[in-house]
Amino acid sequence: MSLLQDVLKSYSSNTKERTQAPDTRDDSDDEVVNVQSNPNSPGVTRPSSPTGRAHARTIRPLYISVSKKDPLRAFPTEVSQKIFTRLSISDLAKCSRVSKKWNKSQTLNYVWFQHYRKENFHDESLPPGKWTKRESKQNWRVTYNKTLKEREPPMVLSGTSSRSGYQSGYQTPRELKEEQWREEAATVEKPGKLAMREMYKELGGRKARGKPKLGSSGVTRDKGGWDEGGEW
Amino acid sequence: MVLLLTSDNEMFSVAEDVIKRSAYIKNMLEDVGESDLPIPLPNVESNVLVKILEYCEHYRGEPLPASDVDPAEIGDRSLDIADWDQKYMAVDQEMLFEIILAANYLDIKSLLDVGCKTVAKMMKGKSSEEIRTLFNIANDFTPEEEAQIRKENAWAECR
Repeated sequence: MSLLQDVLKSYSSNTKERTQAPDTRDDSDDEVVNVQSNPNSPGVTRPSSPTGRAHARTIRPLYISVSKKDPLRAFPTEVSQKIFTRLSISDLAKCSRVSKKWNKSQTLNYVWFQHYRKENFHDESLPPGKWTKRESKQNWRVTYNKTLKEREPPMVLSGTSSRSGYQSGYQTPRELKEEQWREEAATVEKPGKLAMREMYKELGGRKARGKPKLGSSGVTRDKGGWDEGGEW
Repeated sequence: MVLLLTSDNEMFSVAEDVIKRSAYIKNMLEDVGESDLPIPLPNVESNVLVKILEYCEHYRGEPLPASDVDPAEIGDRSLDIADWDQKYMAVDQEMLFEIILAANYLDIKSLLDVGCKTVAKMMKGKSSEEIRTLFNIANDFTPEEEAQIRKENAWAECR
């Protein structure tokens, strides 16, 4: 009997906790960006929450509340998406520095996700990608920035281009890369890639002899240790 | 004629071919058929509806947009706005937001599109601080947090 009571008690306290949970939710959760759950995905989809907007309206109908000037608060998600989709990458990046809400906004994250897809598949007419719980957990702004970083150097803002010999002003990707490397070598305090390579050469491959790569001896391009005889 | 009842209880009598630019009303008229009862618009105030009707009136007779696809979704990120639309959108920010909300509610695609373009244009080329000022948003980052995001954005911000 007492066991049953315990069970009942714990059950009722559980439900209490559960019913209280929505109140403690972060306000950013009111943005639900078309989350689609796969039929076989675990977990329960969160019910759509009452929007803060309607709430604010009933309490202070006569005032123009501060939040009403913020597009991410004033508009439903679909409308905000339409607005931010039209921004360029640089404008979108600046938006992430506006406030914490903007930075963690799933609306902006969704727009970054679409940019990332279009950038990586080189297809501007690509239909919007499927946005599931899994995608929503990734910071697509950071992911997008990483791919940019890997693919191209930052724009050279000043006219310091050393490639004045080229009349067209057009640089091939290889030239851009080479210039980036040169700049990196000049500015970075800790040894950059090129500096490291030089140091490595000076060592004459001794480092490599100490730590042979597993199962790749002699086959890899980096055969420092094996060239030693020829160089000395 | 179609009767519309705004949230502040004002009645508007509008020609059917004018208000049919609103897909919401158009569908409702098709579903309900002829009726003398006013259509309640609990999300639209009369001063906003006046503005909305001005738009519908101007584009009266123009073909309704056929496609359901948002041009921005398929890569059209241009911020070009027709001259008349620009003048129409030259209102204070509160009204601009109200127009967008009403256009969304009434499902007037072209107007929603112009409204979104207008807001995007307001942000275009602005610094984070200028965007904060524009929308009256407080900067709640610590300097370290902001520096971190700036660092992450190094490639994107100078594009």
